[in-house]
Amino acid sequence: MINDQLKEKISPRFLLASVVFISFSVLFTFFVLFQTFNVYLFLLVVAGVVIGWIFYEDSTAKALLFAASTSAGTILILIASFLFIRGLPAFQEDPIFFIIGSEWDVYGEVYSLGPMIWGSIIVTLGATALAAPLGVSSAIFIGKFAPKWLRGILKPAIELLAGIPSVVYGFLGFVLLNRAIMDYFDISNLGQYFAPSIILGFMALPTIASVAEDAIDAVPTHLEKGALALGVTKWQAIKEVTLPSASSGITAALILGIGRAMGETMAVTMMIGHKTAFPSPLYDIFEPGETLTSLIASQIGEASGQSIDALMGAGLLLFFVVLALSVTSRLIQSRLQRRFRQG
Amino acid sequence: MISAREKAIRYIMIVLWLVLAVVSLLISGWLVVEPGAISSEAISAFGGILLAGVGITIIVFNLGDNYQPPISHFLISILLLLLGGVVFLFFPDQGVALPNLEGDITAKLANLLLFLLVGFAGIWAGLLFFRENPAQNRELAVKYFTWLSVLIPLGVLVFFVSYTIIEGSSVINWQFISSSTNLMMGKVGIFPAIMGTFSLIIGATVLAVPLGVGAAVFLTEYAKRTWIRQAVGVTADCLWSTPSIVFGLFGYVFLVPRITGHSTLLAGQIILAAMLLPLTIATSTEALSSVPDEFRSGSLALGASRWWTIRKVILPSSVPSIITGILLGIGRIAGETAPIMLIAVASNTSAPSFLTSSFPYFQLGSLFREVDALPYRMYSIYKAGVGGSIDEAWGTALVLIVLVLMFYGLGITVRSYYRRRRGW
Repeated sequence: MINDQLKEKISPRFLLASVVFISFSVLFTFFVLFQTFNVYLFLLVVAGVVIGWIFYEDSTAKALLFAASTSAGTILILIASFLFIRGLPAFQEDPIFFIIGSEWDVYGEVYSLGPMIWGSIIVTLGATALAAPLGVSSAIFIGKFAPKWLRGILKPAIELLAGIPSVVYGFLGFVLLNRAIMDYFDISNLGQYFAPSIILGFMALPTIASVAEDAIDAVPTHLEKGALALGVTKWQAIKEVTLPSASSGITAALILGIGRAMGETMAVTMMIGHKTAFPSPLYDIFEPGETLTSLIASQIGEASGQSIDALMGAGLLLFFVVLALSVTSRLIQSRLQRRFRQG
Repeated sequence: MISAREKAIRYIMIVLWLVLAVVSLLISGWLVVEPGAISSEAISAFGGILLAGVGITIIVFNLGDNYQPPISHFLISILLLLLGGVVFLFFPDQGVALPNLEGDITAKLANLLLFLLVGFAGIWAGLLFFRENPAQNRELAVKYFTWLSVLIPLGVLVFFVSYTIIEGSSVINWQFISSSTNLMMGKVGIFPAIMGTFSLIIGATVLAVPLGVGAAVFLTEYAKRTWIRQAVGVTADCLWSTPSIVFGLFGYVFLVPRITGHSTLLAGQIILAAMLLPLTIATSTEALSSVPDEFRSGSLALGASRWWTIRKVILPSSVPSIITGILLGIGRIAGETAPIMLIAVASNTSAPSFLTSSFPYFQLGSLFREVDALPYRMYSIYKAGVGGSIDEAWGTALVLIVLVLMFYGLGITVRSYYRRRRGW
């Protein structure tokens, strides 16, 4: 009897599936761990899939679709683990000095990320100071005040702002804004923290505006209508009812915007001036500086040995900070959705 | 009805303006008699304040009674205010607000901010002060200010795009687009970069779209538990927000040693596909879950299998939305520089070609060689020092912007067209 059950389970379909699965796993493992790509195993997998498609189209399709749905997770795990493996050595020697020390000297082989972390913080704060009020209030206008036809124009227009490539932003900023600031404030250096944070503000704005608008949109209209029925003005209803209900969604939007500004690379790299030291005094935003992203982008090309390790450490730090920001934002958003679905 | 108080204020303003007008007439007369008596900075500062004042006055006069001013009046006054600010800005040495701190950077910044603050506070006060119902005034003020905050980023967008068009259009001609740079003959052309960008985009799309759409189909049609959907959603979100330079680093340590050991087109395509994947998953999931359940149950009731239903009913009815998402995603990755900078590109390479004149008429060798790409071309011009080849940079920027906006425009058009046509 047990034999019969076993026989039923080991059907040709099951055999085919396990052959394909095992050979694909072996192929993938060897590719990741030993940097080899076995063409015969690859052909075996392809042949298995083709045979499966011919004889069992439905279940093969389902299996392939399942495999596709794991792709994003696989890539994320690969990125995290490879950054972790390659970035960890930089932290191992003296992690505290690596993070808050003040010196980055490629020739002296002294590496610490203090100035770059500080630079990232300054630039991100500046960008947020510009993008947060503008983004949230554009979201209020688009979501609440704009007539429908205008809304249909403004939403894609704001999307387009995110569509301009960052290298073009960087070039325009470098040619126009950096020079204008240099002339206006009579400073001697072209690149500084101030100019990229303005451009980054406009680059992070669409993210904030569209996520905040979604949050405002998600608030059920009957709440606002109830307030309006009591005789308040539209703005009072928005201020007292809609915005408090959407506040966590707006927070999520701001966090996402901060993450975007922090991870932005090319515009900053082209505008910042590349000085791997703390500004003095610390709040002087008109000195040339460096952020984590611009450090990696400008130095990885010529890096070797120990400095590659240090840059990988910088990448690891950046990756996990931005990851934490986006996970937080996502958690807040999903909690908001759940609340309105129940209520 | 205008109250007595408002009338009085209007009279005071009119008198004030008459005085200012007389003063400016006197100044200009003095300048005719004795050129150079007053510094040009002082004049422009005065002019700036004058323009800003006109802006504030228009608002004040418009809000005097219950008449709802058209938005154009508000925009004109804002424009004047900003114009005043710009005039003031070009000659900042006349520190009006903080005269004792002249020449100091912080003071200049403070001056500028103070000026803007005073101007906006004036408008705000004007809006609040002159109406009978303060709550309604506040609403009007908020409406206009939020409208303004949409206009500012849009203004920046229009300014950037039009500036690039003006600077770039004089550079672009057929030879610039269709040939490669030849320094011996003094020719500059970006053909290899255009072809390189297209090869990168096409490769990334071919790799990412089946995976992304497949994942979306699995999530909406097969996955029964919500946690699977949430898990994939969270990972796609994380992948989407991962900084582009981190993708570059990953490609540098993972893909490059596994392909050839140096930069290759294939590595760039794979990394860009990884960046395109999360957006494809998100937009396709949304597109598929917006297909009404009647479609599914109708097909299943006729005896079709689940896979048949997906292939013949669900996918065809959501193709337009999926295509929209893909087009927007392509617009996004076409301009990426940071990820391909380390793993796929080199300047001054020839255009990749996949066709040959003899059997089998195609070759894949180009996949394993470096390419040039439009965004990288811009970055390398910047790195080499903008001075010499700024024209080439403007031309490249224009081509890149047109390319990206083309994908965006196409995506938005498809979306709005099918949204109107869709039957459910």
